[in-house]
Formats: sequence, structure tokens, C-alpha cells
Amino acid sequence: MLLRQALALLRSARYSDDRQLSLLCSFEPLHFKTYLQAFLAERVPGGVPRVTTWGYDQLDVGLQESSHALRVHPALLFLSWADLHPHLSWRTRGPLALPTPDELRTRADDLRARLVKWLEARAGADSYVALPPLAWLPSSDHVAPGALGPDAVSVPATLWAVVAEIARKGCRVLDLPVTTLNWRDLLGAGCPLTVEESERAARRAVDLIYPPEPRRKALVVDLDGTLWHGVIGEDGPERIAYGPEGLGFPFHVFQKFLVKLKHQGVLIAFCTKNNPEDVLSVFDRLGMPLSLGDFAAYRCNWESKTDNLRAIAGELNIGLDAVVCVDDNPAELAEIASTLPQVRGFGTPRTGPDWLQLFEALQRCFATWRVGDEDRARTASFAAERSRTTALSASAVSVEPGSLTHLRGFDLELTVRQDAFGDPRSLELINKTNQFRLTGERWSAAEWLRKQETPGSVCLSARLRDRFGDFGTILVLVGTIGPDRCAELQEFVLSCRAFGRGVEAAALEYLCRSAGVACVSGRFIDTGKNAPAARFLRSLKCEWTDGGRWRLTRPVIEASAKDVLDETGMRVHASNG
Amino acid sequence: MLRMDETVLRLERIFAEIFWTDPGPPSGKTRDNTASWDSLAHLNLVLSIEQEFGIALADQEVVDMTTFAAALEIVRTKSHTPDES
Repeated sequence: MLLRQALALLRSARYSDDRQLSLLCSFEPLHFKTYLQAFLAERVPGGVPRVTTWGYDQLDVGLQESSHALRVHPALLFLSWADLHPHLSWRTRGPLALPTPDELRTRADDLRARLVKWLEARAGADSYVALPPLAWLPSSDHVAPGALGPDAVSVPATLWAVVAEIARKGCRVLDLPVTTLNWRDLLGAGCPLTVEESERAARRAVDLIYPPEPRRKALVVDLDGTLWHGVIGEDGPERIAYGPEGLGFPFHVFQKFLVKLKHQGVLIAFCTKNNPEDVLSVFDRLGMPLSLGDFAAYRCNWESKTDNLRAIAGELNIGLDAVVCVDDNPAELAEIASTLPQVRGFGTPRTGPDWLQLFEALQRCFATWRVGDEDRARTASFAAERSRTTALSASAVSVEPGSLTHLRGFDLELTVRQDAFGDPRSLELINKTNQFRLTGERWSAAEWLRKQETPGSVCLSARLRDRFGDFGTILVLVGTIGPDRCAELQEFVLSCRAFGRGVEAAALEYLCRSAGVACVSGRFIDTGKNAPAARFLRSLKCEWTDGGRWRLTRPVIEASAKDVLDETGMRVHASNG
Repeated sequence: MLRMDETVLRLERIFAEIFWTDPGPPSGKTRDNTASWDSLAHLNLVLSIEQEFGIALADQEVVDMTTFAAALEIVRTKSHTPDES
């Protein structure tokens, strides 16, 4: 995008009244700010977040304001070497010489303390930091250009150590593509970025801070030619290649990459046209990085790929728009693209660079800033679900429609957490749940913090366990309790994994009991996907009024919860944490 | 090589977009008669011209470029634009 195009875009942008992005830097951001604002206008056209900056050398003012008045809004801190020590800039009024190690250490301690304080004041908000490129470091050493003397090496190491510490405390680190110094604009206006690098860096920053599409949930891979080299049904298990050498090496790395994704909460599945006996019986004997237990689901048959993908998505209880697949057969990929356009498909690479591109593409589909316990245990929870299904079908108990008595022996235990605003999982679950929810709204961290600060606000979450395993946090409700003791819910979400257990009624009853609530109301917006929430409200025969508003009285909620507890034997208690 | 009329049009578009709040034709704009021509707008003008025409302005040219005519002359010289025929 040319600068004049960016400027034109800003003129017609519709700025949001309540969304902002703080850009903190001690240099003049100039065209970087222009492009940042322009790409935001492209990404969020309905209500463009306004970029707020402070003047040259006003980093402390920016830190102060973005930790108070602008606390809830996302902030991008673009560091420069001069933030570590003022002599580390071509514009220094001091000597062009490196500070002594002691001086550097003292300054680093000071910077670390200021940034930690800033982060702590912004707890719950999204904070990002970008590191300066080496090219911005003035030649203040005795070595030739392209070399770094021992003292110069310690400058980046020191700043990286400061950033590492704030990263451990939740600050998100951006790797922006800036490699040169715009010397003319640095001396003339205080801006070290070239206009071209400003554009690239701003584009990447917007992609990372406001991702273009939501994170996908599952990766379905083919086997022959994708997970290993060769065809297991024809070559036999001893002839296929998957080891860390020769033809199998890329496949070996790919498998380890899938294991890594699994640990980050991505559901891995496979879908292969093979005889089950050729694959399933030998899979775990092959000694590959992946074992059968790593897969949340699989299909090994001669059915069509698209039918199998639908079945896998159904088994995992996710939409097809949350699925990514990798296959070495272009015909299969073409069929998927035409029949299931929501599924993102990638071909199995043929060359080294293509593998790297695939890893990057998959990393983008499944990127997350936080990996929680629920993510790490996600695949195990599907194994537990299979055990539940097996146990249920092995028992003589029949499942009556509308009855939960078949769950009686499952030892259901619901642990309710009050004041769950502080748990990052709460917002995460609200933003990723599609089926059981009141509205289709997705909330930013800033909106979340504002809800938290609303008088009378309440946020309750619940974690479910049974004798087969831990579901993790599966329910969140957020609202406000008015002076009339009525709770107005802004959102009420339940993970699809916990459907059919009566958890929603038990949680509403807990809210009534713990907060002395006499009625619960809210607004329901049909998103086309959230019928389960409407079904629940209708099953309680709630009062519906105009505009999709609903209301439930406490006696109705209590009666429903009593039925659930009587039938399932579920125990409900408060969290200690 | 750029044709002169095309250069004028492209330069006018840049002036119109950067000094959009000031009335009057872009070709008549000078730093003195254009209220929005401050130091930031001047930098945006310099960078937009450099990007648009693929040229780099010398420090003196940046300082001297205080009118549309001066900008056109700089672009013409830098990109060897032939005179309009």
C-alpha cells in the first residue's frame, strides 16, 4: 500500500468511539503509525480502533497513560536501543560510545522495573512489545561494520533479557520485519523506519494483534505420502519411511510438528483410504513420533474424503470451518475445496522449502498466545469421551429422551468459580463457543475489562469432572445483578463437550443461591448456530418478550436443577481457587 | 521514462490527497498558501513522491520543495521526464 493510499484510507475511516490501540515508542512513529492506522481501517472497517501515540521521547508519558486511562486497550510498545541507554542512538546529545557494563545493567534494571510495573497495571489487557533491529544501533564500537565488539553484543542481550522477563509475565512479543535504518528521517524527524519497512511492519503487527480469522481447532492428515513416505497397504509397514534420515526425514519432522500442535490444544485426526487391518494394528508398533493415542479421531476406510471429514468434525463436535487438512492427493484436495469450502486444505510438500511454508501456514491456522491446561488435555478428553460412550453402551441402562439417569454412575462433579473474570480461560471459552451461547458477540480484552469494572458485574465459571476424566472449564456466564436482585446475563456459554448433562441448570441455580438472585434474564440473538441455548431456555419454559428477550424465575431454575441433581447424582461445590 | 502530463496528474493526485483539507487546485499550492502544509504533511509529501515515482530526494531537494512547481521540477529532473509534446 502506497503512503498516499494509506492517507486516503484514513480520511474515509469510520473510527470507533471506544476502541483504541496505544502505540508506545520513544521515536517518532510517523509513517509506521499511518500504516498501522490504515491497516486497522482495512481489518476492522466497522469501527476502526484509533491509534494513540505520544511525542518524541515521551515513552514514560505513554507508559503512564496506557496503564491508567487507556489501561483496557491493547498497547504496542516498540522499543529502541535508546530506551536502554540514551547514548545508544545516532541522535544522542552524549558521546557515540557504548555505556559501561555497569551503566547498562543499572539502566536495564530501571527499564525492567518500569515495564513490569506497566504490565502489572495493565493486567488482563493485551500488551505487545516489538524489539528494535540491530541496524538501529549506532556504530559506537571499534570493529568493522557487520561485526559486533564484545560490548556491543551485550546491548542486544541485555534488552532481550528485559523483554524475556516481561514476556514471561504475559507481554506478547512481535517479530516485526525491520532490518534497516532510515537515517534521514531519524535525524530530520526522529523516525528510524523507512516507509517500506513501516508498511511491512504495520501489516504484520495488525495481523498479529487483530488476526484476520479465528483459530482453527482440528488438523486432519492423510497417511500415505503425508505422515510417512510410501504406501503402507502396498509397500508394507517395514518399507514405508518415517525415520530421522533419508526419504522419511521430512515426514519424521512433520510428525513431531503434529505432536507439538497437539500439546497446544489442536485436535489431530487422520483420514486414510486403507484397510483398517493394514494400519490400525501396526500403527503403534512402528515407533513413530505419533502414536494412535495422539489422534482425537480417525477414519480408515474407503469412503469419500469429504464424507469422512464431515464425520470427523461431527465426532469432534466442531464446525467444518474449524478444520484444516493436509493431503498429498491433489484430486482429493480439489474435491474438498469444491464440496467443503470451509475446510482449509494444504498439499503435502514435495521439497524442503515447501515443508517450511506448510509449517508456517499451519502455525498461522493454529496460533495462540496462551496454552492452558484445557488445551494440553484436549485430546485426552476425547479419549475419555470414548470411554464414556463405551461404558454407556456396555451398561444395561437405557437412555431415555429428556432423562439423565444414565449418568448416575459417572460421578459427575461440578466445581463453580465465582469472580471468574480473572481467569483467561473465561474469555477464551466465550469467544470460541458457537453452539450454546446467547449472542454471537466476540469480546476483546478491552471489552472484557470494562465488563469487569461495571458495577454489579458477575462472572461465574464451572469445571466438570467425572470418573473418566476432567472436562476442564466448560461453562461461563457473565452479567450484572441489579438492585432488584435480577441477574441480566450478557453471555452464557457451555462447551459442546459438556452437553447433555444438565450442567447449565445446575450453574444457574448456583448463581441464584450464591448471589441471592430472584430471576435471571437476558437477550437471545439467533446466530444460526446457537440453537442448543434456545432449546435449553425453551425447555425451562422461560418467558419470551419482544426482541428476543427471555426471563427465568428462581423457582423454575431451582426445580430444573433439582431434577438434574436427583437424576445424575451430580455434586456441585465452590472452587477453592 | 514518464510523460509530462502523466507526471503532473500523478503529482496532483498526491497533493490533493495530502492537502485535502485546503481548497484550491493542487497545482497552485505552496507552503505559504496551504494551511495544512506542516512538517508532518511535508514528510508525507516527500515520502509519497519518492514512493510514487521510485526516486530518492536529496536533503536539499526536501528543503527546497515548498511549492507544487518545485516538486514537479524535482520529479521531472529525477525521473528524466520528457517535455510534453
